[in-house]
Amino acid sequence: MPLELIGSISDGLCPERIWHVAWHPSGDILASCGNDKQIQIWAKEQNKWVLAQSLEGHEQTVRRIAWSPNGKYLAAASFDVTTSIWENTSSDPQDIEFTHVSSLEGHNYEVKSVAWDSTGTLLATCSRDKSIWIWEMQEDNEFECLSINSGHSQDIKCVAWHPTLELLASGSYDDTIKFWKDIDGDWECLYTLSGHTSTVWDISFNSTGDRLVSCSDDRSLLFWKYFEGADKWKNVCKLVDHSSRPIFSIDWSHLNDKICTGSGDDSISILEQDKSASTADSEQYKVTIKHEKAHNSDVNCTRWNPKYPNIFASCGDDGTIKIWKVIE
Amino acid sequence: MSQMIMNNTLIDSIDVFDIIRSIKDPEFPNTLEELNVVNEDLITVDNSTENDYCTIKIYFTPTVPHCHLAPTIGLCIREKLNLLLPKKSKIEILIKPGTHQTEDTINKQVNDKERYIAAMENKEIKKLVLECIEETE
Repeated sequence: MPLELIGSISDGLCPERIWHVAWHPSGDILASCGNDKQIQIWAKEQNKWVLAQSLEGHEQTVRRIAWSPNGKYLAAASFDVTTSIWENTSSDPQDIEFTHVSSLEGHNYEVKSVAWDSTGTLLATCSRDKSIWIWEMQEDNEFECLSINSGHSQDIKCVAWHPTLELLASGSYDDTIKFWKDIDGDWECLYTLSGHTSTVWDISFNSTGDRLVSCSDDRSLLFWKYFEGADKWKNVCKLVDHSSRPIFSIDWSHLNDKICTGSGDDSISILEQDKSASTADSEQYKVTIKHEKAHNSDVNCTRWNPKYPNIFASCGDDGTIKIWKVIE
Repeated sequence: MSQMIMNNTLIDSIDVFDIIRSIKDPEFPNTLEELNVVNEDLITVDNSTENDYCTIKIYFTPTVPHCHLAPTIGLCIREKLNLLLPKKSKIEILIKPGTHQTEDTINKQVNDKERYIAAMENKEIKKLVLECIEETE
């Protein structure tokens, strides 16, 4: 089962280092960000990806971007300590015309990640200042901070919302993953998962939200499963030495349960659960594709297309974005 | 230089040492070589053929075990190598075991590429690093 490269963007419009890519919910638009302080929005025209708009305003690297579930808003987390919000103000939803509507200030150091919840009303941001801020979107595009969550002892690298519940997961330089929930008006840390021996770079829920996968600077992938009776997240699979370098990215497809990873050894892998070898307490995941030299440098991000199965995008320190198809 | 030539370039520990030996210590008026912070024998380069990149591992010795500028030295080494190495490389910079009180903390910080990029976007840190790695005849 190989990977086929079906698209590539590297025409001088990209920054030298591309940190993140995010698919619009339609699956036909892709946003990227990197060290040129801008956000690029790419649209597909006759089998070619063209730059539809460049969003400028940040003063430093834009680290991650996230689309709201309805695709109308884009949020961007930057090293300049702010998070920007952009709205597509075009009357035709097929057109792209983004306007800056808000800038969220409050973090003391670089903002590392941003994520919308499944309803599109809550936004989470995390930072090297060790805090997670939960923001609520008001009707006039204003954002109110509902909660500042502290608990991680170090830099927080990533946040991800549960696919259906108001439950947030975060991964940190302190090697742990934490879960956060609003309990009677106060956001509390419900669970802390320990298992990685270095920075947790990325986390991803499966489509039903009863599993989470994490990747780390320790070169391993850990799979976590929620046990309802015990009300606990437990490690059910550990893939050590998945890579010879840190693993920066992981994404669990909500269309077909495949998992893609991007690593500092320039490779991309695809994994799938081996259901016949899995039990309730212990699961097996196997690498079905390992594609070496996927990029000409570190792979920073891999993200599945939310609409078309087996298609994903990747980006890296080589300043290119690639679109891949898993051939079955 | 074309990609093909770049990828055929072999780098050895002498090349790496030649780039970093003249870095000025952020605290003292000496170079890292003069202060024995860096040493050719503590540099290893793996030019393994299966990858397009080479892997460089550098151990450095802080002047004192509580040196608070050890992370800055790590930044200087990484920045100068990134600027001058002719070939794409994966660089690991580590404290020589047993020579610093907070060895693990510094090793983690110095090898976190996100922290490195963010530090180099900080005007004051960037100025300090550029002063230390500037070549003077």
